[in-house]
Amino acid sequence: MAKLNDKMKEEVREVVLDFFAEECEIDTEEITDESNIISDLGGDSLMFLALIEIFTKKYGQEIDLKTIGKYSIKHPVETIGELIDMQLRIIEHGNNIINLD
Amino acid sequence: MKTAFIFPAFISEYIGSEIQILDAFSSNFQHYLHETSKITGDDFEEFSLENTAFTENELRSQLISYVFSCSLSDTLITHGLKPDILAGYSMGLYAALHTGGAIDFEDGIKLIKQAYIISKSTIAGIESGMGSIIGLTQDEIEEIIATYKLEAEIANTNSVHSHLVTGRLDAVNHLLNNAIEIGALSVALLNVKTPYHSKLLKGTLAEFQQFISDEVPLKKTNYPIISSINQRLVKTPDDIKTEITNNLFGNINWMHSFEKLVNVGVTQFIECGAGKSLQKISRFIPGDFKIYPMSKIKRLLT
Repeated sequence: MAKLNDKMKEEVREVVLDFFAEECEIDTEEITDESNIISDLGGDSLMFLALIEIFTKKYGQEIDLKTIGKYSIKHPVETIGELIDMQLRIIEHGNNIINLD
Repeated sequence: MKTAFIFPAFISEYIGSEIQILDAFSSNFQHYLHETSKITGDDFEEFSLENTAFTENELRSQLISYVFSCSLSDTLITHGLKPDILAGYSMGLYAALHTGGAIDFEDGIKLIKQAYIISKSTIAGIESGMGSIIGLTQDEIEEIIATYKLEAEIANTNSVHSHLVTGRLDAVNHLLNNAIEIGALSVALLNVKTPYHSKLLKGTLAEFQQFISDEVPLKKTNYPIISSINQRLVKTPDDIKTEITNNLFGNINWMHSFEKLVNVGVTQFIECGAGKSLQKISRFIPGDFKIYPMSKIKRLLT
């Protein structure tokens, strides 16, 4: 678990946008919070998994993937904005994310 | 620097510019479409990325994947970019064999078609399929299979948390549903009705062996091919025959094949095929390497 500050929030946003720009071979300026990960960007769940790995390494977390899986069934992610929020919640709450509403 | 050419099986999605990229460097793609039409009697020159008659048909989709792969690898070699080693992902084996000089293009088409026909006849009356599970480990998936005694198995390990499963359709569906219940990040039933890399296809062995002996002259490969089943290097006609036949029903492990390639010093991987599925699944494997899908091939040729 990590206490979030504005710098971390900005870092997470930057990493997510850079990741999708690289993967989808587009400019970061073309990606907005409203961009649909699948229909607009051609993204998939492997990208979600890759981002989880990037952030767990970056912030030294030990995350049980199954916890995130269970959480994401209840809180499905469709847009880049929702994905950034989800990554921030994972960083902030770690495995306790499952206890959030 | 060592270079590996890696070959995808099916095309899960196109980047959209594959045909333009290939046509810019050679006429191989159009030539091979023409050849495939002649060999199969099916009009492959009607192919386009939007034509679902090709993209959603299992056999045609495999044949088109083979055409894309052979076109690109031939082009690369003609332009002086030669591989040190080859690896085929599942049915990508046939394009690896063609690139290695073990079979000619026409025999690859014959092998793909015959493998499909024999597989279909072997599982006649059995509803079967394949699925993907992202977010669980091999042990976690095998525990579900054992707990519910499912007639399903892991077909392929792409990475620690990414697997393909295969088997009877009801068992595969059961497995996917349970995987989601215990916390998989995502699951999907694939648009493949044949249970590749499953025990259900073990009955293909004798007939496929006989077909190869009778119809397909195999030659020693110019470049070694890594077996996706046991990661041994395949070079001789006997090795090749065993790999082709076992590839239908044997479980494969792409993660281990890729790790082996990294361990023998490969730092440059070129994905010879449409889309970039191998780049996506291989990114989870640690190591200092670069993967070039077709969309980035220009950088290597100019």
